[in-house]
Amino acid sequence: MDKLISLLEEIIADIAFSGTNEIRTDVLRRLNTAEKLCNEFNMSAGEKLCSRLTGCASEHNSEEAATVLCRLCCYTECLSGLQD
Amino acid sequence: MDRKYNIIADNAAEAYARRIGGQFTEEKLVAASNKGTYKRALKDIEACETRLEVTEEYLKVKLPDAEVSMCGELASCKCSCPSKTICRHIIAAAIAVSVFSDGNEDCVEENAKADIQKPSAQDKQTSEEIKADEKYLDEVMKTMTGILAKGIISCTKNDSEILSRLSLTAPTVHRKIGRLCRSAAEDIELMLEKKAGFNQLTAAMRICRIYNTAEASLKEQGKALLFSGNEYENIGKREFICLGVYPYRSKSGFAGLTAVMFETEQNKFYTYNSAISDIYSKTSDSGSLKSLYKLMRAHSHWQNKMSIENISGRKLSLIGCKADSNDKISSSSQTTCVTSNKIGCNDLPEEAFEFAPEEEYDYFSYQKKPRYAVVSAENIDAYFDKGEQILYYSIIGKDGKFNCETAYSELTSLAVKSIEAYADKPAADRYFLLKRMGGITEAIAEINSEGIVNIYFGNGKELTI
Repeated sequence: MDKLISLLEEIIADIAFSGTNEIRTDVLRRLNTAEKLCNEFNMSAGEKLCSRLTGCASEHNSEEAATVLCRLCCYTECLSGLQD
Repeated sequence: MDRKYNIIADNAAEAYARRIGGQFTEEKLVAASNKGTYKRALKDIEACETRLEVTEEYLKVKLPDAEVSMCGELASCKCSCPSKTICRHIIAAAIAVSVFSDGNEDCVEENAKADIQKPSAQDKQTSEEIKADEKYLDEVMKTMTGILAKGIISCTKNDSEILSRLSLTAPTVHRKIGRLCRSAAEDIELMLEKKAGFNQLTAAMRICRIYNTAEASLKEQGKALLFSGNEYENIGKREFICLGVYPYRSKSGFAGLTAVMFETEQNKFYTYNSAISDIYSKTSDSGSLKSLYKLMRAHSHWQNKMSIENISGRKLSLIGCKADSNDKISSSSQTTCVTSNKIGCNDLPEEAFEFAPEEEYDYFSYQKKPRYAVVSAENIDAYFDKGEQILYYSIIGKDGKFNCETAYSELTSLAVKSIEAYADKPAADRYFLLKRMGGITEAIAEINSEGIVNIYFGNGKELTI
């Protein structure tokens, strides 16, 4: 779980820093890994958010991607907060 | 010229002040800074002569230690002091100007001196206010999406200014969003100045949090459920034991003291905070342990001007005590403090020996409340990690073993020294007040048969000014 949280945090930091206009392929690859990990842990909400973010990136829908990123951020902070 | 404050203004300056002064309400000024800065600014203009002069562009407010140029909005005010943010001089200038606005003369001082229990935001909101709130929240959300779309790396000084404006224009009910916007503006400034304090993840999380809070608030519009609970309520006369005092310094540049008070009727811990407001003055010891010790000795609390040093380690009654939902005691001048005898380890109430259960995680009240407990400390094992600059220590006694850590800094230097001195020196009648927050436990004060020692300040000799 710790690994998943830090992976999600890395993804959020990278995307927010460089922008949802153009999400790099290495970030998309990590997003894919996070989606698979969420699936393994039966975390459907996390899986859905990762998949939506990938979808927005492929559609070049930066505004929607920003909204999904905020949701993913809330999800990650809650995961981390509940774990503490 | 106003008689209450020593303000000197000619006709032109008075007319200018009357024109722009109405917007500087207490609420706005507190939201733009904080209550402590506002009160300090108010004291400043009460204590000294303030001159108002009109130049071609500005209304100049001359204070003894700074000159503020005003031309309308608070965000566009310029101060001659080194601070880049809304400093106490700007707040003092705004108060001075606001006394000229119609019908405002009497309320400024009254409001500052009393923590009046205000009606909830829900009661106050009219449809017009709701519309204005919605507009503000929409703007916040659009700004955040814009920043996230282009990326924090592409942000410029302009984005930082927009965030500062959103911080200043935040309606009272959304003051949390306002504060977050101010921090986000600081994040961008740090990035632009290439300072090591910039953290990519923290900045990202903060911008997302602003968006999420605004969105949640928009859904709760008219109820203001998310943001209620910050008002002080009168809880009458209460008996406390002040079990210790420790310093703090926030990332946003404020420093102060927290006194940990155990309430003996309901058996729960309360805190009393006192912030140092001259941190922006950039004197050589701004926010240093020495200046905080000075603050600890300052007689400026409650109606009868008690000092925190007076109450530390004593039983006390607060008459007309006010506290908020976070169990923080107000410094209201309507509260009277009566101290009685000093306490020792034999006077400790049993109920103080247990940490309160941890509160459930809530994304929208992300600042965790520290929890406190007194524990027996017959033995202490300490190890200072030179690499991490952290003192790891275990407090062992009748209540079990507590693993604690204190990171070394200027503020904790004396605490680290004191704990190292306690190590390997067993003592039977020794107790420690511990603070637990975010999974880290640390010692605040030693309680022995003779009284309480606030370990962050040693015995005070090193800090005597």
